[in-house]
Amino acid sequence: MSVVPLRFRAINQGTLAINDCGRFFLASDNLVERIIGDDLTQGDRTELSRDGHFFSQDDAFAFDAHAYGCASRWDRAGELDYLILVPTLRCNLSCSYCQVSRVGLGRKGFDWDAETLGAILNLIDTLPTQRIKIEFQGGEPSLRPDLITAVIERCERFEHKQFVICTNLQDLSDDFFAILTQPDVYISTSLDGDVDTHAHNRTGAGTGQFLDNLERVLTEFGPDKISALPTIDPQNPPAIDALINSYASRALHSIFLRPINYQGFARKQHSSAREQSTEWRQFYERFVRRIIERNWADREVVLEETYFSICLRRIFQPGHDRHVDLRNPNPIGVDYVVIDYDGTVYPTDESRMLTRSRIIDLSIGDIFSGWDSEKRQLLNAHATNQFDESCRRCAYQPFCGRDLVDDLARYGRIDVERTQTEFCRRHLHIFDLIFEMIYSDDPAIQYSLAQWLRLPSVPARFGIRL
Amino acid sequence: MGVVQHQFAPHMRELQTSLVDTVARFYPDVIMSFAEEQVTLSSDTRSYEALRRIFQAMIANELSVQRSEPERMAVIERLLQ
Repeated sequence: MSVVPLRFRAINQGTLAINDCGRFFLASDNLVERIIGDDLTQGDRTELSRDGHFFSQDDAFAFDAHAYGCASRWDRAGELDYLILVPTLRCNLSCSYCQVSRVGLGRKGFDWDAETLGAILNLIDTLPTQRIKIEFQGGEPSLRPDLITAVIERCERFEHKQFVICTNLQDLSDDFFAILTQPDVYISTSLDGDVDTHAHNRTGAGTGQFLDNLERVLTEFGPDKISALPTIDPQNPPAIDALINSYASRALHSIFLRPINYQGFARKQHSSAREQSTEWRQFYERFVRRIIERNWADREVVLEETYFSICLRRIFQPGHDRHVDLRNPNPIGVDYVVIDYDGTVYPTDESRMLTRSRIIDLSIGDIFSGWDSEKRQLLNAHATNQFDESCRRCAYQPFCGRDLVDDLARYGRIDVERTQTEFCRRHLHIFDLIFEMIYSDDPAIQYSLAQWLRLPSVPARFGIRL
Repeated sequence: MGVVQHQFAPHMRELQTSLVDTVARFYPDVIMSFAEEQVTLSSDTRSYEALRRIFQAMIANELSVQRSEPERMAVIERLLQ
């Protein structure tokens, strides 16, 4: 008996065949017919076995190689080394699609108290790793530079450390700018497009101040210090070139195109955000194609849509990215956690928002007594796409992931038939688009794919045809 | 709009239910129906050629998933150990 562990997907250029290890080819109609009829020629068998698409059932070496290939697609959550910290829930803005559920600037009792800070510092002291990443979320964390500094100073012992402060850059103190002078401190901020769009969505009359701060950070520290991302209202998307220009003109070349997240205030004020429309997917595709055109026209600059690149690298470079929103299995509360202003521990920032919105309590513990809770174990029993009825029939399963919290946010449950979920529709669309580009003969597309994969040159081909 | 009709070999009739289910899941704009031994796929947006390819890909996918299921499970069990 022979094993042909392939799954198939019709795309514009032909029939895509992907094995369980994620190796793939574009199959001719005749080859697909022979696979259907279990009527492979000796030539087929030779070609297919070369990349592990075919092997004999009693070939132990081939089976081991296949199992190894599958294992390379599995994400392994290691030791806790990624903390998302919320030193304050207070914020100096009130955006209509705020995803984080904030409180007013003058409210009391929404910052870490001394006991909570002490417990967090103790946690940092006990982490067994030599590597740490800490993301400061809010609220607006820049309101408490003293707390940020206390945490950063406590991380001195780590060999590798990175700190990302998620800030609206609206009103920044000298103390905050002093923090930014440290080379391992980065900023993540929002930039929704041109001045009018950003003002409308977020900062109103204070937009000039935000832009001044953005320019100051860019001037003093350079564009590598900042990652910015736009939040897009799919009902009213900005002009694509204006959006790109607002980033490219500041030497910000990686744009994470993000529709309004169905979280926090957005659940009430942007209820259509629960499902993304065909129009959104068309906008996304136009955006990616426009970036490709611009990259081809000006080879001095490589623009990318960040998530598209992440998905592309999931295909060609498994294990390259540690993007926790797209991995499989995707256990919660293991290698990263969110610690809120009051010490409550959540598996993800989205689960914090769901709890704050009183949709479902997804807290899994607290900084004082731990988070190895029954709730966490229950969720983690379902944290893989491996056994899902739809996923096991999906050609893209080796590249895809699982996001329990996203399902809970949108549907209030985790057992919605997979292809009916926004997570699945989004990724089917992106992977279809990627494979159409992989098999495109357009040199502009090939050039951008190579750049996004950080290849030194454009390869002769990205995918084979059999 | 495209329509494609195929004779459906009797020995593949057991796939009928799973094919309808899988097409609905992965190509929701495509309508698949069976009458006697003939299968029809139609779509408002896809060409004849695209529908023909979807039909072929779906049969190959379903058969491949069924045939390789024991080995797939063996790999998963081994990796879970």
